[in-house]
Amino acid sequence: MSISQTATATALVDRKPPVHLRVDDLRVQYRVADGYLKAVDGISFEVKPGQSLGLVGESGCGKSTVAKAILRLLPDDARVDGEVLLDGKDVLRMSNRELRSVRWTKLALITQSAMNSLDPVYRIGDQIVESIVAHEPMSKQEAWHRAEELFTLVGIKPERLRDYPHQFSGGMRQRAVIAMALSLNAGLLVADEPTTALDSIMQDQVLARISRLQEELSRSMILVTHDMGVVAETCQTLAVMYAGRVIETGPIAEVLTQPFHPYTMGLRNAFPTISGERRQLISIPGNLPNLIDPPAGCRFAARCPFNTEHCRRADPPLVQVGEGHFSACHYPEQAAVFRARAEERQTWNRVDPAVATLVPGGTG
Amino acid sequence: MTSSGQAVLTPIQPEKARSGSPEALPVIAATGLKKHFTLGGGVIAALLGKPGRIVRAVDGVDLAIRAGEVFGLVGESGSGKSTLGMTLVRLHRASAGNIRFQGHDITDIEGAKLKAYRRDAQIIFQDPYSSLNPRLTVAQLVEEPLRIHGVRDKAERVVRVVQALERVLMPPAEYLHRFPHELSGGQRQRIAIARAVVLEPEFIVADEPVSMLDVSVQAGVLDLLERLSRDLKLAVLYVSHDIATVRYICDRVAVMYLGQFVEYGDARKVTSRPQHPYTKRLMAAVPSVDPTVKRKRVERLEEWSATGSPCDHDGPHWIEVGPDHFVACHLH
Amino acid sequence: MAVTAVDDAKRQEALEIWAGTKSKSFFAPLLDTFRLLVRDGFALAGIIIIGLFLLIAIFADLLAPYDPFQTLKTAEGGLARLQPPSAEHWLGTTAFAKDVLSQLLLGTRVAFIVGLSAAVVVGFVSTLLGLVSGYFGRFVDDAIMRVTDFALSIPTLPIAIVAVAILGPSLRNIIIVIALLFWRNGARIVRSVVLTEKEKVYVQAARAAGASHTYIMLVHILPNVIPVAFLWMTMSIAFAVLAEASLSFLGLGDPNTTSWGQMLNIAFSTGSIRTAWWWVLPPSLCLVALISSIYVVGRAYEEKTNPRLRRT
Repeated sequence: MSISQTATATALVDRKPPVHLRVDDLRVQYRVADGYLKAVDGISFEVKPGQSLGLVGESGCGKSTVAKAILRLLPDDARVDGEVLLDGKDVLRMSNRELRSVRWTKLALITQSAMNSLDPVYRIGDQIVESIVAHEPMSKQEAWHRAEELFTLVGIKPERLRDYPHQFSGGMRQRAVIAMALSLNAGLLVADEPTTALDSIMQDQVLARISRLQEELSRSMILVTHDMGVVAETCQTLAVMYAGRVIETGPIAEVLTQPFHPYTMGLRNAFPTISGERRQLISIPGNLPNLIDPPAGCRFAARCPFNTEHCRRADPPLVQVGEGHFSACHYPEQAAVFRARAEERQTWNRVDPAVATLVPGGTG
Repeated sequence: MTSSGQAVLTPIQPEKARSGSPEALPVIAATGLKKHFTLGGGVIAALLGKPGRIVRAVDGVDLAIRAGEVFGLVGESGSGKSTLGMTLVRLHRASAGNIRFQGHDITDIEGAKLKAYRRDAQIIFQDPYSSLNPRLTVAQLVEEPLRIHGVRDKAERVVRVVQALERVLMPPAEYLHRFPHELSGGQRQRIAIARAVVLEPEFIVADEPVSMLDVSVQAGVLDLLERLSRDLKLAVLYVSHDIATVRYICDRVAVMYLGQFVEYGDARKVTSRPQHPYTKRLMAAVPSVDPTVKRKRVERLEEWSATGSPCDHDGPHWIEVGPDHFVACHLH
Repeated sequence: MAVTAVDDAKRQEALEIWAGTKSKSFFAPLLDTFRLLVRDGFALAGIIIIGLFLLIAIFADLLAPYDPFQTLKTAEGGLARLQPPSAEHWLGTTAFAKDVLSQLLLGTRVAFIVGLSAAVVVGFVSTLLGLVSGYFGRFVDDAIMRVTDFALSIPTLPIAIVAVAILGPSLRNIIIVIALLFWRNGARIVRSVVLTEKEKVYVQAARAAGASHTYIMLVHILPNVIPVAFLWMTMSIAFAVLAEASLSFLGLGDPNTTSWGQMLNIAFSTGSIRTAWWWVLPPSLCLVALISSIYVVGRAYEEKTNPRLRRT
């Protein structure tokens, strides 16, 4: 199916204007037995219309929480502070009615366990049609037609719309959910690990199609993932999260080729490449710090091979280190030296594992 | 073997071992291995004349792994790679073909012989969150294989457990009394590896051991596997869908599709100059972390379909495209 | 299989490390569960009530003012029939001039004997059958489950009535009959847990390590089966008490013992059920109290051990 056919399908859905998202000092806390778990602790970023932002980090760093917070899908016992401005209106303070009109039409979400969120007693086609018709003045027939086009987009035969979720494999269910998320051509797509359940070939194809679609129709995307490779090819901006904070952000080419934060350097060097000489892969020893009672200074200090007394006492703010490029490290001027040393395995081995390995905090 | 370019029928011939030893006897070898599953069968269905569907998970595989060698097995889901690994450790019974361990045929053994084999062949599972019994401590978990195989002397067991934990870089004093839920994914996998090596086996199947771990800890676990393979002279079958990690630690690799190998040989050669269209497609699908590299994205969405073989024999035939690099005969 | 030699120094070191690590006591999980249970108000009340009944059952001999079978006389010399509560007889007397309170207290004992014995037998049989059936699957599973299905198709109380009528009304027979009827559901419940546990990856890992079937069943599957089996056992206590009461009420109870059901039976057959409230109310209330308490504790236990059921 060509892009022009997609455009025809899109014509059936109102040509939606691109959206602008700005997140300002977002904080999310969960009430747990021992106190408050600060899953997200002051995150700010901006996604301009037509732009894609990659949000990367280890499991437990809070990236999924950010995705859910933007769509207000967190459980009731989570405390959310800050602002999420969608085209100027704060999503966190919208009424339920406004929120409903915004979800799916302006904001769409693909979650990690999305393949389990399909209702097993209805046919997949019916579920997609239901969500389209609920938000758009379309007839069921037209909605079904759109669903067929979406299935072709994600590589499933349109006839399979008549099947039930249990008749699909895990990968197919994931793609069906992606199709559903794209059905209303929402201006901003928040995708939380959308392709991890897919095989590499399928992942490549689906992401390529989504990227092209986003580009052609000026759709924005926040891609939350741990896979830096996927982000490198799909997004223009990168935000690296650690322990509930953004510790580095900037244009993707810059952040990946000239990282300023040691954690970004470590993450970058932990990814195996398939081209070129076999590089030494590093592992970052230790675990995330306790998020109920975070350490006083830099949160990465315990695992950072370059940490100093100053790092352990003072929390570094995000400072500008390049055009649109920010990093939260006390020593940006040493970045070049750090980068060279971060490529060697013994730099990381010198981190004291007893200090770095604390029992994982509440996020587990 | 004939000169390169001509199709030949050959089981995998092991090259000289990397360690330089001249003995060519592989630790584990399989010939014509098949594993088929029947779905939906049963007494009633058979009576009604509706036999079950046959899933040919492994459909004719030849394989040989030597001591100290890490052999990679790459394929997507449905390729049969996990089934192959499990069949080699006898968690499944082969439907056809044979498996030889240290020269002995173990395809159909049962009882005490099977238990003895289980001492020498271990498996590490993909999911560190469900492969360890949450009710047992690390000490009990690593001790279990020793108990099962009748190491009666408590002191002996203690020593081996401590040794195993030290080998996987988990200080025993700190971790012996912990429960799995207190550990991170990477740590749990290390415990799983400790369990696997505590009996000092000769063959280990690692079934996607790092797929569920964060990238920042993958390298550590992979290095551990490689080091253990070298130090303990283990034959390791490393199963993965991630060709990048395969390239990182494997000496040789085989690419699997729909139950058969399509290409195999030296890991570096196969991954840098893939010959089979499926291998090429797999390599092309890996995203590059280097944003300056503009990889050619393939958008054609057809489900990858098997290319028919025009060769006049049955089954895949191997074309030698270089020293230790073989491709299955296929339609260009 | 290669064996690396270990020298004595390292051996000693390893043993020291092992000895130095603390490990949880065996009773810790039981204490944890208990602590969890008492946090729930209902469960706490239930535990206290059951505890009280248990004490009464144990010390019934000492607490009962009269022998429950002793025919009592009034001051005038006549039979003290159907006397309302008074100073000498706190709960009055029956139509046959026996002390209600004493009967009540000793009835507690019967309730516990029947309840606990039946529950233990039921627990054992259910667990054994459910474990074997679920673990081995295929023919064994089919065979056992078809037998269970057949047994389930038999209605409980009617068959209990017939069985006791044939075997003769004694406490022992009642226990046997109850046990023979309650294992059916228990076996199914245990089997379904076993089916889930069997598929866990760590069971496969144990198989790959060479564990025998018995080892896997005992070490990996049974610990997860026990909470469910235990829950079914507590429910069985309640059902057993009720079944015994029903059988006694219908006249099939052991005539040599006094149980709450017997008391109601005799009250009914002497036509005093409408008039002698002191005779009818206490055993009824005791039945309700005991069974409800058991149920509430069982429910709280299930809620605590199965996180998905939590209300929060």
